[in-house]
Amino acid sequence: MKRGLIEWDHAELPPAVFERRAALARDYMRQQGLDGLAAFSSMAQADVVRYFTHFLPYFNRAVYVLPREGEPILLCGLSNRVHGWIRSTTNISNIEASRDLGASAARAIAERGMKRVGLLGRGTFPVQILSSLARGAEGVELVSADDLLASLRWGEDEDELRLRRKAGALTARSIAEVELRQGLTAGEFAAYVDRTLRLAAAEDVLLQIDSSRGWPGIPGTAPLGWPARILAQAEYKGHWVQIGRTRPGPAVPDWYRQLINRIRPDQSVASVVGDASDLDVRIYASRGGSPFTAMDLDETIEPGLIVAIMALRESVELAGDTFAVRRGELECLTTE
Amino acid sequence: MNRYAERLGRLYALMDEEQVAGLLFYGSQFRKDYLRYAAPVPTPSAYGFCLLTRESGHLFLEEPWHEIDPPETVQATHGARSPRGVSHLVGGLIRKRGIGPRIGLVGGDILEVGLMEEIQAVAGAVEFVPATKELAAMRMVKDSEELAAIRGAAHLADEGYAAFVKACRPGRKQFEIVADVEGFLRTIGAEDNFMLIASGGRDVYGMTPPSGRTLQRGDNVITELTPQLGGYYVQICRSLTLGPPSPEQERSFDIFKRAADAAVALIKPGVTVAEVARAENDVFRAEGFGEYCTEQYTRVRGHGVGLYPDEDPVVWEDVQTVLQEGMVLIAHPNTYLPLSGYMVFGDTLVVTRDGCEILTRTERKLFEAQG
Repeated sequence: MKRGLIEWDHAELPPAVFERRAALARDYMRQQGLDGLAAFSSMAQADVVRYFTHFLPYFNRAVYVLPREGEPILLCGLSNRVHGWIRSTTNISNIEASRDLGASAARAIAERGMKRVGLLGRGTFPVQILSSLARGAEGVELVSADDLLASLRWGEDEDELRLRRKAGALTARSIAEVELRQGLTAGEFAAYVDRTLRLAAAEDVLLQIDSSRGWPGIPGTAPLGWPARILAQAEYKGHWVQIGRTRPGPAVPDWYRQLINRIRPDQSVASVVGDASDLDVRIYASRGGSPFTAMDLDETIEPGLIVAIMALRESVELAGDTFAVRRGELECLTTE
Repeated sequence: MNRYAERLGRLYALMDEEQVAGLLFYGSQFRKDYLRYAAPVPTPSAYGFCLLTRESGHLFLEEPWHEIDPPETVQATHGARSPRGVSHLVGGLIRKRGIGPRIGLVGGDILEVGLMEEIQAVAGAVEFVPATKELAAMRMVKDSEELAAIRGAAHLADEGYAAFVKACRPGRKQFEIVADVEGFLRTIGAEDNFMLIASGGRDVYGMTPPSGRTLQRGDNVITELTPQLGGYYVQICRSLTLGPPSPEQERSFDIFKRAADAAVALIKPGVTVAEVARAENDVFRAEGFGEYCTEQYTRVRGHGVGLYPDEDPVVWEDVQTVLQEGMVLIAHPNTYLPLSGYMVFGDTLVVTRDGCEILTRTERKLFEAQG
């Protein structure tokens, strides 16, 4: 579960940001002849609902329904006793506790007279919830609204990028600050990074640290050898970044800089991987799944995406950063 | 000798009961308990599947995390670059081996539709039938490997709570306390932690993730702390006061302690969960606080603990589950009382042949931190 500070700082992320985003969604509904949109939220699929509401589920799940006209509603697995907390950390006032999110969403849709509803991130709904929603929403046409997600272009949304940069700077700095010493364990390394990030108001921190060859594993209590590899994912105000580092070593080694400099927006993952045959390159995209979802070889690094590019060299050196894919370049979001 | 033979035997029996040719388990980044039950190995993979049949077991993970020694329940691991690719492999194996016509799906409550559709498209005419509830029921009674792992994890809850007490001081913010505890738990090897916190007085109606509230002298500070080690969570619930407790805090805690003690005294094989909940609630009722045992003020009166921090059975007065030896649960009468606000108290325990054994060692008292 998320157990860092979850709060909505209106100075950092003004309510107008979410109003603008909801307006975009409503424009889309009008263009597509939709009466509403529905999206699923869990810790593993938090980004879509977070983008519109600042809702961060620390546990349990929810379905968000945004009507073309009228008040949005959050159907939520969390009990009534924490709805005040949800209201204080989101722009949602209408919250209903539910033990069957699909059925409750269907009822909310029916009560509002919706006939055609777009599913934002249709593929991310859990099997049971979507089947319950479809059963309950008989007579309602449920269609995919995934093209809205693609058109939002998070990699060009300055509010999105501002907070990712902050998450990136905090994460990069915390890893660089760890004092290396003989006998330091992976757990102690992780403890420093985790505590530092949470003190800086990160909500969640996922860490893999290792000094045996290959991609780093779950940190244990054995002393590290050197160099050690660190794969970190951290979330600040719902904005995830991913970083790969080798300590000791430069934050951005020359070979990694060369890899990134070669990558062009609109290039396929296959060609990036093929051009770097001496490296093990993995590319992850941020587009609904939390933190990131691994990209397949046949996918494209499209402008507007936020991607994390991780590379392992000779099973010993790990480097990686998170980037906004711009029209002509990649902007690194994870510099100190 | 396969140390998971007992578990595999149960899973084969479940396959027979449900008339399925195999069981497909799914795990996601934040919920791997189904997967880990079938493939007991930690993995950084953001998701994974395990396909078990009577003949074989296969573990499917995101590359490069599949490059591990297979756990003893499976014969092979498979990896692909993306979630879609991994799902494609699962479907391909089902089709190639002709597994069917029915496969039980464990984790349909979390499995994304997109992945399921990919599996179904590749697997062909196989029917996936829900088996999540059936597995959850089976998992209530822990096997010997699980009990050993849970016993091995219990000290983390004790040490974690000691770190919590040390971190609580007037002037500190809730999230700073959590940061200290998280850091400490990482140091001693915790894989994960489920933790809720609250502080204050009669204005506190429940627990959430930490806020920026600053602790003050006289506060009641409560936590549900649930570190994970070897895959298994162990939960402890305690309340403390910053400075000496007020008479209301003392009286309130006394009620919680007696309620939890009543549950511990009752728990043994053959007793129902409803009776346990009633034993807790009767203490509140006798004090005139019966209304605070309802859903308006409390979530549950306890729950199972294991590979997930909040497992079946839910301890509630209308749950007729009969306790059996080997069940692991926490009986916590956590609720709001107007005496001093929301308070928590409870320990993870295992049901033994003739009673129960509390697994944590932290003193069962109202703690006091320096005010």
